[in-house]
Amino acid sequence: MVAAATPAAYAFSRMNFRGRASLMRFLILLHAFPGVALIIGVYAIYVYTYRALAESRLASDMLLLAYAFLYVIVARASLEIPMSTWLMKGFFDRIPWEVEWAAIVDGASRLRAFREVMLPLVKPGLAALSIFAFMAGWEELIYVVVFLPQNAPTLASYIHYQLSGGALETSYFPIVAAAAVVYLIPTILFFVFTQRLLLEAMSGGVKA
Amino acid sequence: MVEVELRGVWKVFGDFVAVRDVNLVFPDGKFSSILGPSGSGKTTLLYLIAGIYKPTRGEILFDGRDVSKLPPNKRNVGLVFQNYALYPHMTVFDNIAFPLRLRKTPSHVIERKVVEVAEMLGIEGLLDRYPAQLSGGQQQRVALARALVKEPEVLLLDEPLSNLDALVRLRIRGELKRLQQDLGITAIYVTHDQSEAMAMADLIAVIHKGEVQQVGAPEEIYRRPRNLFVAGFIGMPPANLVTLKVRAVPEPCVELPGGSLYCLEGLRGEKLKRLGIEKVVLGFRPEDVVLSEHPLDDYLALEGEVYVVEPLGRENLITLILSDGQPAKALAPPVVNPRPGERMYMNVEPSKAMLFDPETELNIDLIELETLPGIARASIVGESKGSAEGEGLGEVED
Repeated sequence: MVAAATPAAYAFSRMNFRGRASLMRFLILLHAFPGVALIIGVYAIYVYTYRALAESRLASDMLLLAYAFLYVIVARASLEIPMSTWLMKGFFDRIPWEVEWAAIVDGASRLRAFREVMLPLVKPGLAALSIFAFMAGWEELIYVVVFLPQNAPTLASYIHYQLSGGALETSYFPIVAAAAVVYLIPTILFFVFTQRLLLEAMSGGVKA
Repeated sequence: MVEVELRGVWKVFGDFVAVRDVNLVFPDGKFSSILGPSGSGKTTLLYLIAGIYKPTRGEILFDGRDVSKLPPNKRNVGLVFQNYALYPHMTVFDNIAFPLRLRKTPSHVIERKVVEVAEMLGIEGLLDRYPAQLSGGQQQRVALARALVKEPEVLLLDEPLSNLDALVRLRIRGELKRLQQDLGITAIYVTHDQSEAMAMADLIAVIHKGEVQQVGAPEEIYRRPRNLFVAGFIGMPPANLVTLKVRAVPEPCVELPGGSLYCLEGLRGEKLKRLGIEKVVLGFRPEDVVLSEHPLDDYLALEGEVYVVEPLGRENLITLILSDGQPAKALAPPVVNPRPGERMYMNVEPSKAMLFDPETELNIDLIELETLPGIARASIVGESKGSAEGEGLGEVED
């Protein structure tokens, strides 16, 4: 997700192409739809592709499961890309043009300048984006519940299953509580170690 | 080192013309300055030379080689930005080494060259610091070192001193000029500060609204401004510009504030006659004014009332409101300290007085010398309009 959003954000920030402004508006419009609203369409594509895969000669249980995982990951990531692109664009916008020009005048190609000067300067942005992406994946429930088979739960969907509907009577609560604690740990650790970076991300970018 | 030439260069952003038909030659090994107020297109011009912008029309030549289509990384120019544009995530050493690394220079050569240039600029003790830990003057040197380390053919400087405080600026100004002379590098220096340009440059190109107004040595631009803009821009304070009526009795004369007439003889009178203008702008430098209580003979004496006296230490800056309501400034020794409201005369030696045609804004003394392209609008007036004997010219209504 970071890998897709960052170059897109760079392009939006630094290049002038036709329809740039309207594309940006379109992106934010995409973000306006929550994942649930799109789930029917996403599910329809899933069913078609899953069936096609199941009927092909390559089909095996492992492959189908891997496909299910991959599908959830890609579908969920796609939902995050519009907002991430906006966020990253903000970070790129804050780098003075002169810094990039300086690199190019110093002899760098545009790609090299991007890699060696621009990317290191948007590190806080990249970090923030990675954290948001991680959090989004970690807390994701709906897509996981809908697309993944019951026998391959994520931690979130496991807790959800134990606390809801059919399983509630048979749940062993100490285990569920332990799972919930484990579920919390990465989140807490992430924030402990990245809060300085996040703060920097919020206050924004480079002080040249 | 190369000579940089701009041939008929235009730069248009949307429908805004930033640079209009500029023809300039920056001589090899000389310190040239592009001088203009903010928004005049001077930085655009520098970026055109660096290759950051592509000219809309025209050619840019380095020693006769057309580089107009080359991107900046193929031009071998050193550029110091106004805000230095150091790479904040790299140490000073890495900042300076960056252009060399891009050229795949072996690391021991990089080390040697970086230390060399750092020593030359006196920043060898700062090599492992980050830009944020440096003062403005130090950052400025790092930026300069980064521009110089790759031994560029042209050194371009975009207002490198404007972010420094006054004392540091004065010191670096001297050092920069010395450095350029020692290296013998072609340097082009963009500034809005005319005192900087005067002090440092061998050649000044004054630019305004994207057009070259005048090119010349500092003294020439100071003493013989080509037009009203240059006269009103160069100098601290700039030249006084006073609009006067022209009367023809029988030689063309100008009506000075206070009522006296000053008649122009010789070439000037002849030119004024042929121009046939009803008004002329008199320009004179504040330091060329002699203040007196009575008009002096053989001087252009302008009567006025003292408005304010500003003591500058070395001299007093005295503002007068002339009898016709126009303000003018004079520099006088500190002992001259008139009270506001006092009646005085500003006396200007005729040889120090400049005359401008208010319509074309050109210096009348230079009209025949017009050779610079881009400002060739100076229409030398034909006989049909310009006869001073023509009726009605003597009396001018407002």
